[in-house]
Amino acid sequence: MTLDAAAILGDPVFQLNATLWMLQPAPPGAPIRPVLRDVGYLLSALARELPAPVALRPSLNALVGSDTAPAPDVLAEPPAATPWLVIECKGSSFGPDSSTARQALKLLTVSRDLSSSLGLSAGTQRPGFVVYLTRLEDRDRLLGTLLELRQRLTEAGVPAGPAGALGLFRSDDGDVCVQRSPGDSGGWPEPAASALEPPARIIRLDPEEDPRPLYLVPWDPSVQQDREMRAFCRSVLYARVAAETIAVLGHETVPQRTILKVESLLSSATFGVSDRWRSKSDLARTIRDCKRFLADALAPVSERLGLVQAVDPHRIELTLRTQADLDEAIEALVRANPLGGPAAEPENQLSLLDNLGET
Amino acid sequence: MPGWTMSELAELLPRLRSRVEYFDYLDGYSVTTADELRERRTTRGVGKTYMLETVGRSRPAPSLPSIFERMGLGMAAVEEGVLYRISDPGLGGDVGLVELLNDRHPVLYTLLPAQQSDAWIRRVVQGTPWLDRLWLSARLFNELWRWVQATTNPRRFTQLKFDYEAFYETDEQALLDEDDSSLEAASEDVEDREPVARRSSRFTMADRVETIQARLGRLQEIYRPLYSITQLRIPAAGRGGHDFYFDGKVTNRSDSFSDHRQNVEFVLQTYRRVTERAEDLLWFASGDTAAPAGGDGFRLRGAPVFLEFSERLGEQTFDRWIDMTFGRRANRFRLSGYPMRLSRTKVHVYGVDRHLWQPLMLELTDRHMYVVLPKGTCGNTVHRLVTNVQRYLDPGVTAWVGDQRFEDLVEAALPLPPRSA
Repeated sequence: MTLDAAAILGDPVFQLNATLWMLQPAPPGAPIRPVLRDVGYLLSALARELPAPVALRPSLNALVGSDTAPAPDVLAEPPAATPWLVIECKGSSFGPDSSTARQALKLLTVSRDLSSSLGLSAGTQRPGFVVYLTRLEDRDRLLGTLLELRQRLTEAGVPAGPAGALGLFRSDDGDVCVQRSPGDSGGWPEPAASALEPPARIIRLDPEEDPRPLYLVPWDPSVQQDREMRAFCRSVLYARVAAETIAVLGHETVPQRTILKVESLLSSATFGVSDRWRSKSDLARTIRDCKRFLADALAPVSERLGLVQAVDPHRIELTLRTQADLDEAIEALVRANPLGGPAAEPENQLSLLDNLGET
Repeated sequence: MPGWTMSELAELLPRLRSRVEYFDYLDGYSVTTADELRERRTTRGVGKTYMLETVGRSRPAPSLPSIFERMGLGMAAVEEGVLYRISDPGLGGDVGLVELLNDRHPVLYTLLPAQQSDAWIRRVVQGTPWLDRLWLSARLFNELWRWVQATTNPRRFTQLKFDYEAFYETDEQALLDEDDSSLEAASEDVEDREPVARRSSRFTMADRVETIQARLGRLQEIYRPLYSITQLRIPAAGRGGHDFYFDGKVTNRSDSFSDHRQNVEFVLQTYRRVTERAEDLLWFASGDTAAPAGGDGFRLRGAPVFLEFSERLGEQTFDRWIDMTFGRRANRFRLSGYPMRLSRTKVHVYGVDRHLWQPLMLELTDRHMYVVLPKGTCGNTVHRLVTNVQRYLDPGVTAWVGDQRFEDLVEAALPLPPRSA
């Protein structure tokens, strides 16, 4: 397993999961410190769309070329009378003219007052604070980009909310820490400001220990990842799909012709997150990858179980005549090494089935 | 099943017509047995109860009669929906009575000798994913023991048993080849195991409540295996008491079946409240955001279980634990999954509870465990996990559900004792 700390800390899926753990309830001595929850923030939503107020859309459209709603990775509900945290995870910094900057412009715009975007009652302002989480070495450059974007919004007459950047790094003794940017545009709001300065230790580790926590969200088909990180996330996804499949088989009675619905297994394996993926082609490709993993895992018993990979890309069928058949199928899945799962399909290639699925 | 005869079964549970007749019979039997025990000339087993979990809240489950019928057992209603006579055609008679003391937890009352009833219930529970035992961890026993101290005459006698076996800590390589299928070793048959060179502690402490109360804390401080309580006798209203074991078995050593049943119901209610409170806290699930502006965002709710070891496991112990748990089908923790080794002593498993066939995620290190349970996972998995860690890995393990101590959940589930009211 890789121990390239820079690659791990720069992985957006690691960053997303680290953020989720920062918002989970935990006992005082736990090695993962929920530094945001400890000061009153609660996990509100993942990938929640925040549509800009209608009055601002023309200006935003003129500046960005689109007024589709931005969806930050994490939205954290604050303690009373303090700004919401609008958190986005980034593997590295980006320039003010990059495509990524368009989303940042939108987030800065809606964060000025989130009450309309969140559907909350008018009259009371709900300010937000945009936070970009990245590696420490990219933090200040990313903050510079945010300041530049904020300036452009102001010049265009679009009100913008404040923003800051958080940098992840490993301390000399091995812990994963996070430190907020200094001198940012609007000043970090309390209580986040105190919680993240001086650097907050978020995962206590041995010096040589892999920093990855359990991945609550293992897979995001839309995110750019290092190849090795992508492979690791895929293996976690495969392992979770295998576990869901075993759970289904474990409750079967024999004899039985069993139909495994891969889309449903994928949904369970991702806490229902896959149901909300925007790209149907991403969903279809991931289903096919999972199906191939399951089929490979069951290959040693496929003849005995009359395993059929239906033309329908979402199904695998097998015949369980006896308890021994069922036990064999389960053991085949238990033994399947998710780290050696089948190579994924190329990710930007639409297949015929994708096209059919989207019509 | 060796040693069972039809006549033995028929004598132990006659066919009666109603709940009242059965309970009167069980009460009468208890009186006789208590007298026999007192005179030290008993030749028959005392009444036993096995508390079970149906996993009913977590997902749609078959009815109790159909669960037993799938295993070829007969279940005839004495009182529909509440009390059933259960028979095993393979054994030619009625094994006992099953009562739904609440809609989640059936209990089996039987008069069979312990060796036979333990083996029978083990076979039944292992034969279906829809039933599990109750798993009373030391953390739960600790709070029940505090309840006994607060509510019982301090001059009464009680009994505690402690059992800890450092199962994964041995120098003998042969251990890795040992058959681990005896993991469900019942509460009274552990003496039969092969001797293996490893640390192991078994104690029985029978004394007045006030005496144990005065000394146990200090003893635990100097010898950690004494944290691993595996049996507690709750004194009865009359003489004797009720022995609650870690695996959900309860032996009636009182002179009253009614008192026995009341104590079983009391512990069951406590257990249920703890389990359901834990499930409410820990179930991970996503859901749509509630606000009307919605979008396609989603919430993720839940809390991890955190088990903190009282001291770091040795590397060999850690490796054996991982190898013996995830390297074989039959293992003490009843877990399966592919162990993804991230570091020397850090392993992630996105696996399943082999007994209930439920997914779960585990981080296992030499210092702690994290457990994440998806929505719908029966909280009994947590009780079993804590019980097994305490018995085989670390008697001093501390358990948390989110930011709440497991003991605090138990304490909150118990009624306020009169002395501290």
